[in-house]
Amino acid sequence: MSVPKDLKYTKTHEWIRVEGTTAVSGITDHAVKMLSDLVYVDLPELGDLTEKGHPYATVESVKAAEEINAPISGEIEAVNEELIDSLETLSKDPYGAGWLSRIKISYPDELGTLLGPEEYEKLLASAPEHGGH
Amino acid sequence: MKTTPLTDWHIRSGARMIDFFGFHMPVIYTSISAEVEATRRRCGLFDLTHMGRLEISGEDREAVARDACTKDVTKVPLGAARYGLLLTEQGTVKDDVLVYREADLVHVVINCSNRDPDHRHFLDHVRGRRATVRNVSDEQTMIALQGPLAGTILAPHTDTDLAGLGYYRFCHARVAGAPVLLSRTGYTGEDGFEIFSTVADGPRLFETLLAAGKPHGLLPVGLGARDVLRLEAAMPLYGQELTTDLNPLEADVAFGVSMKSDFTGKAALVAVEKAGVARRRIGFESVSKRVPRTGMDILSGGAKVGHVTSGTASPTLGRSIGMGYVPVGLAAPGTELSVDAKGTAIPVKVVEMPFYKRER
Repeated sequence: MSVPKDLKYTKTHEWIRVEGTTAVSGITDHAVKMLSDLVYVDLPELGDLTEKGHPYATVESVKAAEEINAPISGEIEAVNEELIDSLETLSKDPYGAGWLSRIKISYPDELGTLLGPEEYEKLLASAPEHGGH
Repeated sequence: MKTTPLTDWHIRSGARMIDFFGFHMPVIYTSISAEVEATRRRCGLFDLTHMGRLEISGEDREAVARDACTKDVTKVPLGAARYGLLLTEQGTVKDDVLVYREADLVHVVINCSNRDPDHRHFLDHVRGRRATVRNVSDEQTMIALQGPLAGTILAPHTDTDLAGLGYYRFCHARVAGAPVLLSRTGYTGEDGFEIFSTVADGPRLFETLLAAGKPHGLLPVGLGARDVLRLEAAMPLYGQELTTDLNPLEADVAFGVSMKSDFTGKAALVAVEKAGVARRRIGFESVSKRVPRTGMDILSGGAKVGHVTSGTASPTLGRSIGMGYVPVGLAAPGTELSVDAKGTAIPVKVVEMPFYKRER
């Protein structure tokens, strides 16, 4: 399971890449593998306000719909519209071309509450796999 | 958690495992869409040991089975299997089953979640007659081989002439040298076989069929894809399309009921037939990529008129499909409805079932 070193993570398997005052966000390789067979993504609207830890997007697979939590509080500056028609991008490159949104960070303090790559790897190692149906 | 003789194999092969009604079962080996595609075009191999199996023996076995199940076993040809239901006195569905008639035995294949209640159901129908009902679920391995190449893959490994074994027929046979009950049945909408063996022979049978199928593109298939396959074939699932709140006429499974037989629940069902049903099981599809899911409300003109019992994205059809219950006036194919996905309306249209039908 790939966990890039330059990202920050949440316990619910989202990632962000901090770029100045904004954060590019997505879901992790682990999350994509757990969902399997993605069929639909519902992205937030430009200008939507996100609240860290609260749902702001939905990803559906053949067997399940999962809420994606906002990894950080802020304002949606951009969303990856290309995913809507090519979800395989999200499966193939979850940390690159499969990004979900760009969020203007409201509270830089929140960054300290996110997991580093080592902490996230530890979480993956300890968490029992949860399945679908 | 309960295991099957194949649990170790599933774990070793890297399957994602879940707790399925107390059984440690594989839900995905590779991916749901790959496993569905393999089964539709080539072949899939399934561990179904979690399903329950009963055997009724003794002189009065057929009279007992006839009282307990809607399908009159005495009308089933010897060596054939038929779909039937176990009903409450109120005529609602306790389980759906397959009844197999042999010269001296009646086999019943039941749902995993109903192993004990169904055993009790048949025991309650013995009523002092000469019949023994045994729950043999833990004494067998049950494997399914499903898909257009199932016969091609199985033929070199059995002594039985498969061309002579028709759909919904079964026989005693040898597969990979092991004595089995070989049945041309399944829950996928494809041609295929269900194979009942001893616990000890299970792993070798499974690995023999897996190796035999490899050159043909066979994949092991988990419960995730199994649910998609049966849903594409519009086969009802106990606990979702069939419950003790519903009767067989509402569920559109009257083909499993011998109305001339005198089974438990018959009187209630006759009354329902006379009065007519108010709601009916429907199949619907959507062009939306959003997927209707179990439990979501079905709406007509903004008002709730029913609920979704099963829904999935169909890899075979490339659209979302589902089943549910609505008033009979809204059940005609072509009727436009919507499904409430947490505030978002998914437009759906009632269609004829099954959604997918294999070419014969």
